[in-house]
Amino acid sequence: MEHRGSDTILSVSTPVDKIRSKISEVIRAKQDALQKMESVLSDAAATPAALDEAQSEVDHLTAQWSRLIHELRVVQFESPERFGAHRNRAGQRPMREQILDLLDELGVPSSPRVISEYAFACLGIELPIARFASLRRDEERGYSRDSSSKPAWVVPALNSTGFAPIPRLVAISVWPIERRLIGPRTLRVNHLKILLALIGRVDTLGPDQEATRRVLALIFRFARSVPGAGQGVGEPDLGRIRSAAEAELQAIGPTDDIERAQAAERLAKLPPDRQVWGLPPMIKREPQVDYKVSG
Amino acid sequence: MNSSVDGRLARLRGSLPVDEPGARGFERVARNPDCTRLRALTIVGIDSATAAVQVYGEPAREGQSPFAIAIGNRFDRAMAENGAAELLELYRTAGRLTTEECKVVIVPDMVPIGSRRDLKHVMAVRQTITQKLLEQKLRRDPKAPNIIVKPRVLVTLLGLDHGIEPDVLVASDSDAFYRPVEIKSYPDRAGKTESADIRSASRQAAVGVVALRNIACRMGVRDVAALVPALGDLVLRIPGALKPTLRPMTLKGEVDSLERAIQEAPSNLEELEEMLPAGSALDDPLVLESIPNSYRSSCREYCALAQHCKQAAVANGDPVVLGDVARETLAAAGSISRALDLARGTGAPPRTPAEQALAEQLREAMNEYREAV
Repeated sequence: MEHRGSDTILSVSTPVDKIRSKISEVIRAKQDALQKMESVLSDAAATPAALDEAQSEVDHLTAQWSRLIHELRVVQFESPERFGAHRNRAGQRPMREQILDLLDELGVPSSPRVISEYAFACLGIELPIARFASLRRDEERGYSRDSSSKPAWVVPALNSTGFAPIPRLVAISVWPIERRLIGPRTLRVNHLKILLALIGRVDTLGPDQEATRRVLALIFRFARSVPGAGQGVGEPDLGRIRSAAEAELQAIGPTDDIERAQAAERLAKLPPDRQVWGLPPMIKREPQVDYKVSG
Repeated sequence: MNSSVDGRLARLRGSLPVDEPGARGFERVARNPDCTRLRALTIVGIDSATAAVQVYGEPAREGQSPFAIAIGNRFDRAMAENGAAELLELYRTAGRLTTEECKVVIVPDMVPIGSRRDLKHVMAVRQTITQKLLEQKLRRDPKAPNIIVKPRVLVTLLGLDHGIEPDVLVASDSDAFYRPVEIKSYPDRAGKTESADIRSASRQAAVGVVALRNIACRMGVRDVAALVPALGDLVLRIPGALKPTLRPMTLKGEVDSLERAIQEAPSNLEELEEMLPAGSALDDPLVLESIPNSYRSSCREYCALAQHCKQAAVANGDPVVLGDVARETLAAAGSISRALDLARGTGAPPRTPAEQALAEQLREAMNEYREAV
């Protein structure tokens, strides 16, 4: 029990309980607001301003409700990993495992935004983009403590020239080296590969109309920049998009494969941890203060 | 040497925080090359908004609208995401890049802010990455990227080295070097696009041209104007969508005026120090006020000190408060009250031939006005 002035506030035990308690309050407030709106509507003398005010209150509470539900999802999503109890909770898996699965489906290093959009489109789950950075740091720390403690790690893709990590593209440590490398053409090649993976995923979604609609929206967005994918009027044709993506991939893919394979040979000569996490980027000059005199 | 320069800059800033001017800062200097005050602030790295609030004690004014900032950020992100797919499509459709010319490097993705605590270190790494890519292009390496998003180049402007981040650099494999691209979320309404917006974006692109010439010069290129012609691209937004449009621009006028502006005095730290009292700093209102300004009606578009300068112009009866045409026409008189004296034939007689000519011109105009009404 916690005492504050004359009020007595029951302390709540976990963040989940706190959010649930707030949601209950918002639900009650929303019920009151809806009742108020109903009475305004039934009152012939009510002014438009009164109706606007009642509507605004309902909208405000709906927004608050939606935010709290989102918070609850995030907290519930994080809690298994935090407390190590995820195995006991059906349907709740650590974020890293979700990411590893999704990356496996996409097949190439991907940005947190793409992974998050793909997760929402296919599974209806929200993976907060902001959490990827801390996850990657946790992974690096975990790997340095005991690299064999997990079968696979979420790692950054590596630049094919200096093998510097590219933190905004994540990959899986057990992928072949060349798949984790990013050469000059790889961003485009991977864009096309992701598009093809999305097209392949549509057939496996089954009767989930909503998920199909979301994945199709993602496909059309990815296909927009592919020449010949035909984003004209009418129903977009997945077959045509696939053919266009494959044609472009055929034009640029082989060169990219060669460039990455050559880089992979060089990377394979480095120690195992460098092959996974890359080399720190080289700086030509010392970090400067804000300005520096030129010669 | 370096630390002493940093120390001198820090002393000149006094208690004011440093702010990297970037392309926008130099574009502002080029807009009003006669304003020594803005130039001095740019040299030492003080934002005009900081000076307005912290030196003159003016209330903080609203900057760009949050809506415009949000749209701008979303548009920038949309252009860079998925391997800059939108930009590739744009340049392919325009016939500037082929399907095979798809080499893209997104510099901030390689060294994001937040992955390291030291911002200066992040910027130094980005600079090194960009430098290597530019060297790659200069030696005609076929692996040199066609699109570089948010490169960071170190250029010498106003006598000091500054980090400049053009939005994008673009080049086909056959191009000798890169062309700067300025991304703006302004809706492209063809001939009806706000001309001030286009001019401002063009001047920022011109900073990119000057920066590329500067860096090419450092890399030993002799004819930098041939390697980096005064050309740039503006990428604007299709109204109501996050789709880009492409406007290739000739920037000769902008590049020339920018180069002239940065050569005006004070063109470097030494000249600025010479014109200020020893030991003084720009956080002192008296010191800042002692640096000549050049108020124009367009100043309010880009300078937070505009209101302060306007008040001073009103107090001094400066003809500029009647508009830029009046500023030029009445320049010989120097003030509105003197112009009125010359027009009415009151006060002291004309002191210079220019005043004499203006007095005749004004009297003639007064007579025509009287006849007309």
